[in-house]
Amino acid sequence: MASSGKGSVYSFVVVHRPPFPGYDYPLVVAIIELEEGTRIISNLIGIEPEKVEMGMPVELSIEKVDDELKLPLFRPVAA
Amino acid sequence: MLTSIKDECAIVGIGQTEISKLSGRSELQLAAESVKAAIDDAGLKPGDIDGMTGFTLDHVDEIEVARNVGIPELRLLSRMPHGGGAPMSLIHQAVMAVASGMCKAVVGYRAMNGRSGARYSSGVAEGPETTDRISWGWYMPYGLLTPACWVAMHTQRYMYQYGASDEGLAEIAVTQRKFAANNPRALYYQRPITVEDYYNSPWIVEPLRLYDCCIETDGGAAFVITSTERAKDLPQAPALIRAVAQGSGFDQEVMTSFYRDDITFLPEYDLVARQCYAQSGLGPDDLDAAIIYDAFTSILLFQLESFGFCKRGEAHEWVKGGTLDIDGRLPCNTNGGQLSEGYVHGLNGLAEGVRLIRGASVNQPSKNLDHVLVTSGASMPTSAAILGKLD
Repeated sequence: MASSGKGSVYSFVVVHRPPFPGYDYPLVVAIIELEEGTRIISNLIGIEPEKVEMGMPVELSIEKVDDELKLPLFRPVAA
Repeated sequence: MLTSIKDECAIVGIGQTEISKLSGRSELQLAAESVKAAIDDAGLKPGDIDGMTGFTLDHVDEIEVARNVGIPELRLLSRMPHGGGAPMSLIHQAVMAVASGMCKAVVGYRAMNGRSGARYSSGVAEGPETTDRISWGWYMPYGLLTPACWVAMHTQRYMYQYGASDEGLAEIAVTQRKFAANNPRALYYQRPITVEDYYNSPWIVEPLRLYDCCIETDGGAAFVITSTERAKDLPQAPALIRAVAQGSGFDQEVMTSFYRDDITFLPEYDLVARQCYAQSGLGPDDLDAAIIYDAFTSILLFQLESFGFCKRGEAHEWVKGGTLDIDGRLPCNTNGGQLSEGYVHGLNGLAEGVRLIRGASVNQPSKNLDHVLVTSGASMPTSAAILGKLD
């Protein structure tokens, strides 16, 4: 099934401790409910952790996280 | 054929090492010490033991414990999976073996250098390619690496869906540290905290603060189960096993059951609660005290609701106002729990459950305790037992 890459925040956490190499903290990890009805776990980027809200609309953004790895991350949908 | 396990078996011995941040000895030594202490407490000899049950996560093999303690023969070797979910399933194994006549007396144990050795807070790293680790490939790249992260995901949704504040969590954190302050075995012995301390403690993973989290410790704990008939001739007041159950729920993962329609409750606890009440003929109103698995404060809420002490979504209010305190409706984790006595994967809690039945806790409630609930860890296949007094 193809996904539109659009969804909303079903739940999220803000990770502070302990820090692990390769991540920027505080780190937002969310369960995204996709429009198609499935869920995916990913990071929210382009938003301050304290601004994240349940149900907020987000969309897919494929991001290069290091020299070898790209991950499907999510950003808030521009208002 | 036996049609019910109710009251067929009893816990007749408990043993624990000290709890510390640096045991200074091997996990095998901790296992052997706690097993020997449990056998001694039961008034038995190593040669009386013929079955052994433990954790798949334990680094210590049954046969090594047997060799070091002097248990000559074993007819049952059994390891239960999924860490925190396992402890009461050790009871389940032991009861099935003893009640069926396959074994006469079974020892269960857990020994871990969980602080000076490998720590759960150090995250998931390289290891064998087991199926759970492969499925974790969907989570770990995003930094969801520790138990606090996984539990926080359920907690956040629960708080949102039910409009829960963190006041109930604060009360659990403070009450259990108060219990630990009286308990010389506890890492928080003589170290109570205030509600203000709770709110000032740093975020680990929002919405969980430092004082919402269990401590990481070194220690061992063990128990002995035999038939109730035999228990009557042994020195300790037996803790009869009124009920014991294991359960894995729909769409079950280990700590990451995030694809269920509603993640604000854990159906594996519903399954275990239903079985415990059916076996024992008891209900939540009959339970006088509890040892509720407390890797994190918030998982008490899910368990209290599944066991029917209050309705779904209400536990965050129900726990407020001293409900879980020594003179409250349900004195809970009177040893300080894993938040503040120590983390021996629930078997130190089981030992406290037995002490409550014996009337021997350092925080013994003044009311009569006929039945004590003891549970296992959240968000994985789990287990629970109801302990009771000999009539």
